[in-house]
Amino acid sequence: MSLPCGTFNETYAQDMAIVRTRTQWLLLIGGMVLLLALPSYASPRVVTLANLIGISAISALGLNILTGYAGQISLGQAAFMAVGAYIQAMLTVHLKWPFWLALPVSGGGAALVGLVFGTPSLRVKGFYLAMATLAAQFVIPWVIVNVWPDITGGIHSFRVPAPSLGEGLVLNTQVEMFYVIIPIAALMAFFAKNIVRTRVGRAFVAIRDNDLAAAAMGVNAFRYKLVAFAICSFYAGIAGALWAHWMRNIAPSHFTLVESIWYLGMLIVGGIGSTTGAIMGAVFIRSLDLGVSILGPWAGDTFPAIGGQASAALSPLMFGLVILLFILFEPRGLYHRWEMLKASYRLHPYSR
Amino acid sequence: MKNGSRLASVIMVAMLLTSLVLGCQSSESGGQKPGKILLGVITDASGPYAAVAGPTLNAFQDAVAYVNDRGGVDGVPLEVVVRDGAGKADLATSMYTELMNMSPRPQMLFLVVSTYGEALHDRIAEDKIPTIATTSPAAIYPRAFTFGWYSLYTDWFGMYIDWLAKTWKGSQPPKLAFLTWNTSFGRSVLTPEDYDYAKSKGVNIVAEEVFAATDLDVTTQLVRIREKGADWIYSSTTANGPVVILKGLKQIGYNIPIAGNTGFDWSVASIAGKELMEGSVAALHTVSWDETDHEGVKAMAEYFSKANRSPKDRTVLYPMGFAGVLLAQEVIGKAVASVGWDKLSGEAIKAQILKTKDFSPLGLQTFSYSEDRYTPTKLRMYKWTDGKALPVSDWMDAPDLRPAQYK
Repeated sequence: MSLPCGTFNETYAQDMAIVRTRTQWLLLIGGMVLLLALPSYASPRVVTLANLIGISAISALGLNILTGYAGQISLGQAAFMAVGAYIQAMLTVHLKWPFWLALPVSGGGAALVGLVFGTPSLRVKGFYLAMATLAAQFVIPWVIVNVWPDITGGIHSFRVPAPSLGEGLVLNTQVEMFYVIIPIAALMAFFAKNIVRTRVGRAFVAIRDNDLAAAAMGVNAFRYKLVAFAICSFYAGIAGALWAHWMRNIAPSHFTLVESIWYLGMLIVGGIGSTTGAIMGAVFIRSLDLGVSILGPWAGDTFPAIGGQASAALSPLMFGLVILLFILFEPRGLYHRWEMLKASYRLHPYSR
Repeated sequence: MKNGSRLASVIMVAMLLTSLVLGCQSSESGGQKPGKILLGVITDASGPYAAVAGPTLNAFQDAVAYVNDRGGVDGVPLEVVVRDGAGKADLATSMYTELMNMSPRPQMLFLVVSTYGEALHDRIAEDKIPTIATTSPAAIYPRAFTFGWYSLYTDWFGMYIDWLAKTWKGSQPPKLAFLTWNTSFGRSVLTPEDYDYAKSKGVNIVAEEVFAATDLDVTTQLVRIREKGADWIYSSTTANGPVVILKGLKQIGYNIPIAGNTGFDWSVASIAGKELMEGSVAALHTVSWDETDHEGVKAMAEYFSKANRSPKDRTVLYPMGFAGVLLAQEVIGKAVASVGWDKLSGEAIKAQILKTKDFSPLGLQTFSYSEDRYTPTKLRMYKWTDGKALPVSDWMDAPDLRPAQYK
């Protein structure tokens, strides 16, 4: 981390600190207060969007650990979310488990499934590993639809109740869900940031940079790859479980390959390999999605001759264009640009 | 003192008379009329269903113009507020939240994509907003505040089976094959209830094949169906789904009639072409665009032309949207007449929806609801002949083939 001019690390603790200076603490606390107070000054649509961003950010953080830190690409993130969502739904609806008890179990269940689909990482990597994870994206929905349709609802949607914290306290509004989702997202972001600073995180980075060299140094590459898959899937499972209660309804069509690609897109846009980048990517992509849905009807009205077709093409067009432009002109993502901006401010006028 | 008591008497009499006048006023004129009545619509204008759902939006705007030209609801004009969910349940939830927090809030809501109805069912029930939704069982049941725009897809299939059983002239019982999308919509007809009903009417189901909504080739499935010797194919698909099947049939030279539901409409015909559509059969819930002498079609076409709509808007969703607005006018009008403007609420409107029996605005579509059945039942069979969808049956009541868990 680049420090303000005149600030030096004089102890190991200072060197390892995530929040180093008083200004950073003030900004962090102020930001958290503003975020938690969002429902009081933002419109209901913004609060709903914030909930969606919170859930997406959790999933993106998990994918960032696997892809950004451990260098293992995954095209099955949405499928792992589906595992978490359906486990949560089954536990809360069929077995009447409380929401808070079912949540970590859903994450754990998704982590176990992630371990299974991470096994090919022993033998393959890169494109071939991506294909192996793509298998998860097809196998998991197939299992949900065909294996126990009476329990899961099969191809049809499955209703999930609003979470409750005991008798009479049912969280069924966007604002109430906001105060569940955002603290969990903040906690998961904190854990993700800290994972990188641990032995496990350093092993991930070593494997990403050169798995053979890492193995030569004594890093058990297969073990840590599996750990990365498990952590990524755990995050996806938590995100899926929150999705189930936020949507109040789940269906296999909520967890498609397109969604998995969107999560990779969030990393590309935000910056692969950074926790903040994953969050930035989630904010950007979900806001873009909302923006296109506002722009779509306008495009249909403005170009009536191609009306529905024009607006129907807008969503995939915008998403593809954004990914392409970021890969070409900002391959390190929004977080890198943000770091450059901060550095240029700190080093001014020597930053030129 | 005398003048004071006289003055007091005058005041008391005036107050008594005023209270009598106010008390005698009927509830119909009770409360102040709003400036407008909002109808909320959550559609898909930028997602996978945009090309199909687009005409509904235009129909709403034209129907609102039609209603307002005729005085609106008790002199209050209607206004449509549209939001785009892009075919995604999460965006639809966001749009729904926005609509529910508007001031004034829409009096009724229309959902044009089945996914929205399923995702929003519980929220709609909590917010008590009467909603008309494209019909999937999970969107309508358990019964609350969401009503079907048309019959359940299982019921459509039952209607087709009734027609097939009645018109079949072969010496052997008819053999039917399913070739449908592997989606919630496509698989909605693959229920035990539908199978049992077909069997009870003497129709043998010999094959069940599915394909993805993005598949462009179904010849493998068609070859398997041909091997089973099917006499008819039934497909619960729309947009390019029927086109893919029709093209596949032509490719392999397989001459078999195909039947469908709301998906087999003019939007499909415009893609497939007259030749491919020839002989296809569809159960539809609205009048046909090709019934040009129909008074309702003429009225609808007048506003269609006035707004310079594209020929691509001539789909089944247009008359459906038009009729939906007229239904809203009817039930809101009756609710106002019943409870007055000041007590107009979701419950009052819902009560009127449940009292709606055989309401057929401009003859475009017939709406009937009851405490037991939250979906209309009237359908009619059409056959595509020389590029036109012409009726081949009277309006019939579709059988109740709801899956058991929704009864």
